[in-house]
Amino acid sequence: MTTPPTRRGIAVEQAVVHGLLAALGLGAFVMALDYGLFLEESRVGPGLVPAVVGGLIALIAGWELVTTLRGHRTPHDRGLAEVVAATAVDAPSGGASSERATPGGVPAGGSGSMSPDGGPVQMPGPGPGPGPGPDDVDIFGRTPEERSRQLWTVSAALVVAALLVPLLGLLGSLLVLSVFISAVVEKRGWLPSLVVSFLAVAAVYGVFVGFLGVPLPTGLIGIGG
Amino acid sequence: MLDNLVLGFSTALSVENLLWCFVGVLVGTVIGVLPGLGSTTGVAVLLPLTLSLEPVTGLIMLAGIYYGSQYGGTITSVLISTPGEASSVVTTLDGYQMARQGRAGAALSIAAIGSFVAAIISLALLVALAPPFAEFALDFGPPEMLAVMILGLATIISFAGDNRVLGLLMALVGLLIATVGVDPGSGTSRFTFGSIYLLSGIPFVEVMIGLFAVGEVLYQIRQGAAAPIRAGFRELMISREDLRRSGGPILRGSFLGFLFGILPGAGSTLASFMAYGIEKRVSKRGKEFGTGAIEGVAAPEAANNAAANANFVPTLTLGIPGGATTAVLLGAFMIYGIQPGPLLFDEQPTLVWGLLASFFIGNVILLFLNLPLAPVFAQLLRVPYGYMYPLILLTSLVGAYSITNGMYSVWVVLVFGIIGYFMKRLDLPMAPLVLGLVLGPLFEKALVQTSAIGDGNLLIVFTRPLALAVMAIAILQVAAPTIMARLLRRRATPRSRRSDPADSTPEGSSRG
Repeated sequence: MTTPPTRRGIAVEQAVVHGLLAALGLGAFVMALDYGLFLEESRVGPGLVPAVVGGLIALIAGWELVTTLRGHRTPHDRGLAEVVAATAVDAPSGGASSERATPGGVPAGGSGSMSPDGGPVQMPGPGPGPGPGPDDVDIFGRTPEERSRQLWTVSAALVVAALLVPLLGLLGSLLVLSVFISAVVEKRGWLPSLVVSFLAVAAVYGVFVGFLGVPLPTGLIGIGG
Repeated sequence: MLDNLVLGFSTALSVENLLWCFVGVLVGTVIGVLPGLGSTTGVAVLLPLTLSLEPVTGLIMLAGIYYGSQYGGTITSVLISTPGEASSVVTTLDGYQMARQGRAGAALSIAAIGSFVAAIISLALLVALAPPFAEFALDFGPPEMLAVMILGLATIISFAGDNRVLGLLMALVGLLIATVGVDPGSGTSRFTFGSIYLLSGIPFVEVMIGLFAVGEVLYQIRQGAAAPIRAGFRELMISREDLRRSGGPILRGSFLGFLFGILPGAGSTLASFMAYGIEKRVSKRGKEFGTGAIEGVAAPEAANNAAANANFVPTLTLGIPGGATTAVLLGAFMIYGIQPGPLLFDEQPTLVWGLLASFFIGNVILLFLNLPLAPVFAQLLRVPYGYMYPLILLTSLVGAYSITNGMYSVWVVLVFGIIGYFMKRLDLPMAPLVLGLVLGPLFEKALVQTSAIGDGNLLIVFTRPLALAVMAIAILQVAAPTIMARLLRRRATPRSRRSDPADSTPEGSSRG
């Protein structure tokens, strides 16, 4: 199977992930050799499982990396998919069987922000199911690029919120996080965002602090707790 | 047996346990209804809430979330063809078609009734079979346990995803993560890099909250909002004819589901597909399957519910989970300081029988919740995801914090959230990773013990008949998807050839 242009982004991600996994496996293998594979009387030592597991990860991920770099896409028709295909084999075409035949579906292409080519995204026809495909505009009219940007904004916001905990306290920084996501990422009005976020944080406070008695960090300012 | 049931019901019927059972199944249904959220996410995110409860009460609530979300997941599968988890994928085939024909009410009703009947049948089997099985499992030594764990991993690798090699890769990654920390055998600290946090290992409840809740939310953001419900509820009540047609499929689905659910690692997904496939062969209306046949909803829904209950046989009696959600539940047991296994039935009778009795009660509550209220739950699908996911993120992070009262847990959740996003995006199956992570320490312990028994020779696994038999099944599992697909196809071919012209429908153009 060759890789169509829209799938280039995901192929890059795939190569990076398998590359990292191969490095991880190799690193674990090398470190595990130091722990000792076998004890006296050739009994299993602390290094045996990590060495074998790490070695296998390095081999499999390395193989996947090589095939991805050579332009092959990993087949997704072995395993449960085979049973699914056999189950749906003579369901009438055009029915739901063609809509979501595999659990989770194979995430096809999409130019994620990791894609090095900033070229235009090809828009395929209507998505396979009632939900938008990874390359379609969703019901709010967001393009894949916008959604990808939202994804990375939310991810970064999560990390920033966690870093702010020593200053604002856990609930304080989560309030900021929630307002930020609602107002800036989801582009709702400031007032509804504030109200919804405040209610959400109050609910979390009620359950965890009021009911469960968890001592949450209050930070320098001393919110919640 | 009767004493045990009386003990169980007297535990489960206490006011506190009843209340938490109700909360569990209600919250489970709601989580099941939310698109993209399944039982694993629900149990992982809400596990921290139960830490202050009595173990039996906490487990009753978590189990309620587990089977409650099976009911809720059906609602999304039928109405918007977006299953919350793999085990309800097959329900979309006929359920969504029924919804488009205005028969969503009938589809949801039969799913609720089928699930309930299956639950009662499978619970009776569970109650009858689990104690003798635990008795039998008392004879399992480390080699046998090793073989059973390999069987569990082989099964989940074969059936959790669409590529066995990637499934194996993820199981190995799970096993590797599990080796971080102090080795229980020798006391060597491994992969800790001098960090005191890593010394006690990577905490797996946090890993699961990261993978299944934060990773899922990030993935949904990338996927975009789904279309709203198109289906209407023209008729809410199910007709007598529908009930008559569904009787057989529900019964067959229940027994089939229980059979598959017992296998460690196999779980409900496989059961639902096999029930659908087999029903399509034996049913007189086999050709209507895929166009909105009620049998095509009844059979897999019965099967996945029966399998969900049967999952508890390996989880409780061997301590080896039957799927991703039972793996999280196993984690809950361990946090409470309870080690599931053959001795559990003797050592913790109140807990085990209270839990099992609560399943009966929970399923009765679910039937009464779902029959009249399915349209009400369906309204949840109209809540914009933009309001929903900040709340999921908040609960995940505060929940993670509350497990250890430390920010380390929050960071683990965030790191594994991003890992989880990439796993979903690249179609790397999560269930094998979770099972590898949970089984890792047990696996290594059994390996060390086996090598001690065999004086350093691990091959003694192959000299123990029971271990050998289990290993043989494990090897078979790797080829099982191909074999099953072939069986399903082969039986399809002759049947469609000699199809009776009298009852052939115009759309029945089956591929021979």
